[in-house]
Amino acid sequence: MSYMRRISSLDKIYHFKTEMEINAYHYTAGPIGTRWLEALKNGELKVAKCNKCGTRFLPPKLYCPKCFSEVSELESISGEGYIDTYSVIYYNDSGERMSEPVIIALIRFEGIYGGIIHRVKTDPKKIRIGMRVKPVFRRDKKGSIDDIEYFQPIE
Amino acid sequence: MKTNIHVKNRVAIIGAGLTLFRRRLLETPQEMAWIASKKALEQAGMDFKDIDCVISGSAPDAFDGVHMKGEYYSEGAGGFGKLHFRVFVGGGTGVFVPIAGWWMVASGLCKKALIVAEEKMSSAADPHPQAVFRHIWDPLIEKMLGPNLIWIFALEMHRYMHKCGVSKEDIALVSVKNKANALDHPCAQAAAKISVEDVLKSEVLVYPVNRLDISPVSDGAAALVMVSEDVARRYTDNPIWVAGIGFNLDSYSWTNRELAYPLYLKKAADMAYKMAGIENPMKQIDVAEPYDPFDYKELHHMEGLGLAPRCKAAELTKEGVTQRDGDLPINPSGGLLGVGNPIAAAGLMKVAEIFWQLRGEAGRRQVKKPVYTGLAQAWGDLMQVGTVIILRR
Repeated sequence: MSYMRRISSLDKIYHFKTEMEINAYHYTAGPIGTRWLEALKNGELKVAKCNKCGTRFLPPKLYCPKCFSEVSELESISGEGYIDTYSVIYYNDSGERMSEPVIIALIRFEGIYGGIIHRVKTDPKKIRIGMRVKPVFRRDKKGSIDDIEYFQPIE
Repeated sequence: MKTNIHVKNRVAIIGAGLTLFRRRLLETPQEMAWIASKKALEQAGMDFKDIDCVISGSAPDAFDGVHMKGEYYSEGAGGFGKLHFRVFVGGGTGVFVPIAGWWMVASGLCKKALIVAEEKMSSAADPHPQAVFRHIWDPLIEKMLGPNLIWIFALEMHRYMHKCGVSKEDIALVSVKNKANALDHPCAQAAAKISVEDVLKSEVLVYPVNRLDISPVSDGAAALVMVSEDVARRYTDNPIWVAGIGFNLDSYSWTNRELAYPLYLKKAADMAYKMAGIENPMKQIDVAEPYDPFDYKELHHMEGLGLAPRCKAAELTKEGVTQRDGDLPINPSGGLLGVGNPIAAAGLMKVAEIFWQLRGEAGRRQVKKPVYTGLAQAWGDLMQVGTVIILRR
């Protein structure tokens, strides 16, 4: 059986309302992730390095995504990367037009396997694929990917 | 192998690996999958690149807190650029994963399969990982009562005690045995030397369930390498064969089951026994790892598996038959009560234990008598699914 018309009020049908959520999840960062986040807290974007095959990669993990050896090392990079692809967000999740559009991009780094997704702050009319960017850190850092406020173009 | 079905390739297990089982592991689910996989591959003498399919299993996404977590953690098992899928039958998953691995290799769809089970229950931190189980009940007639998992166990345990004339003391012996067995398990989380008295004196959580009747909440991962016969012969002189598999689902409504006897498990076991050519499991199974999230479940499951006559498992336990040096060692690993209960990984840990027992590689956990045929079993969904695997050396 189904209702042919949309029911505007659930008062008319027997139903039960409960929430189906865990209040809070605690995600552990893992041994390499922990050190990577500590570096971010110090204002430094590092990459993980596999000592077996030499792959340098992001995001950091305990295992090499190429050869699956154990990874124990992080390495500093300049932080300068380039935009692999980007998108401009005009409407938010609630369907409202945002006062200022937000650019998100897949950012890659020369010689690094993988990359990261992050915000880019620039004029949406000026952004282009291949544009070189660098991270801008917040003043108050907590050891999170959000310690990077955004990436900005390198002039 | 006596089998009632056509099989293209015989299937062997040639390696197994586990992470530590702990209340909370620092590693991410991907990293946990990687650690267990790497250990299993090392024992098999293989590398990730040698594997051609990755079959994984894990309980609800709501534990790790990542929807589609199979696609997420499988990266750590090298599950990309390859055939991968995840199977999920709640608590029964741990034994269902090698069942799924078996059909992939037996059918010839792949030859070298990595079998992985992962569970990170600690992520569902607030209020408690058990809160995930608030949402497995019938929303119309049960959920409003606010049931938790212990309720249903308590009702089933009480029914079993009543019907079979089994006492709390009899049941507590299982917890005492398994927690002591786990003292010899390097991955164990809840190993302990305790007495029946300790179990009976621990808090009554939901009558007749006391705290020490229950396995803990855990993080952990487990892995196996399952290969076709030709591959097995190249890698080892000591392969362990999958002799039979079985699985069966009962009604979702617990009101519609006889709670004192797990009929779904009898049906699953009969399927596996038929495939393995086993007519008298009490004589032909040398060692077994039935699912033991609660102590009475070991007895309940032994009876469903036909490893004890109905209502007689407690008697065998009292007589010492199920001890490591007994005639039918049960849960020599220490089981979920002793090693821990990262749901899917706990079931696969049991298969790994039977693999090591049959190879004679269980170290201080090795059972006394010579063993040729072993069985592992898990149980889940809404306490209504039975999954069984029989291994033979």
